[in-house]
Amino acid sequence: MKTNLPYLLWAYALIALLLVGYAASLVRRMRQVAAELETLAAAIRARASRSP
Amino acid sequence: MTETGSKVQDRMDLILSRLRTVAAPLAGLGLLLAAAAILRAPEEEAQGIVQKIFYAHVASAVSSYLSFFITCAASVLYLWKRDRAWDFLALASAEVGVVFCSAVLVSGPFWGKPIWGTWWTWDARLTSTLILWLVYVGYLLLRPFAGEGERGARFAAVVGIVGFVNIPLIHFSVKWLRTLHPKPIVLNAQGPQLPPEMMTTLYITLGAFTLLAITFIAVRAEIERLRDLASAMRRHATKGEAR
Repeated sequence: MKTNLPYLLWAYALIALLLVGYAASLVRRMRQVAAELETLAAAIRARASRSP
Repeated sequence: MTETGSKVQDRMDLILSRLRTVAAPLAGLGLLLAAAAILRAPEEEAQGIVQKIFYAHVASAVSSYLSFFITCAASVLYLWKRDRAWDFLALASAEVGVVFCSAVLVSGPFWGKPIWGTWWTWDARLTSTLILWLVYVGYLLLRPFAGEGERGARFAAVVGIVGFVNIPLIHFSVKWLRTLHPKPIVLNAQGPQLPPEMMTTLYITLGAFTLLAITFIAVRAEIERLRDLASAMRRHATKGEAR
């Protein structure tokens, strides 16, 4: 039965990889959109200050 | 309702932000508890240690069903109310459902090989789960092709609803058809057929994965709302430049 241990470890390693990878992709996308919003807000503010 | 700031959106933002605050730390704690419970759970006599794949496999399946249920319900509400907040929720939960469904499809073969002697078989339960995964991967691929606006959201909502029909078929496939996949040992007429220690481990893993799915959905829906806000601001900025 001990020979089955690699199957268990592989299964849990792949599940962990999937979930951690997805969590990391969410963090990356959240940072990306936050940075884009900041740039756009700065552009809109700059234009508003230029207009008479 | 196409742009940000609807009443539904405001209420949903509040609920999702509370869910993120509460569910994320609980999911982290739950995953630690689940790992400890799986390590301590007794080994099944006939299958040995590989039976422990069952806990994460079943918990992933339940989380994917829950996510696809949210996709279906939010798609119905989108078609009814035409509020983009429902579409964001449907998209977020479909993506999370695909992640958990992938976990089901990835973990199953590692149990199948030592127990059945094969990585994969075209059994009714396995095939219908693969179809479910393909339908929602199709849902995610369809969105950029169908356009950003209401048209894409409408098409996606229809796929989101139709895809859910598969879930009862997956559940009952092991009862209605002759399959290699084990029959349900928790949700059956005789009640749960697992020893108490294994049952507790399953409940802890189920709780942890469900909380993780809720956290993922809440964060993903927020990303979609912020993207919508960014595209509205971009339009506003471009309009100003054109003037």
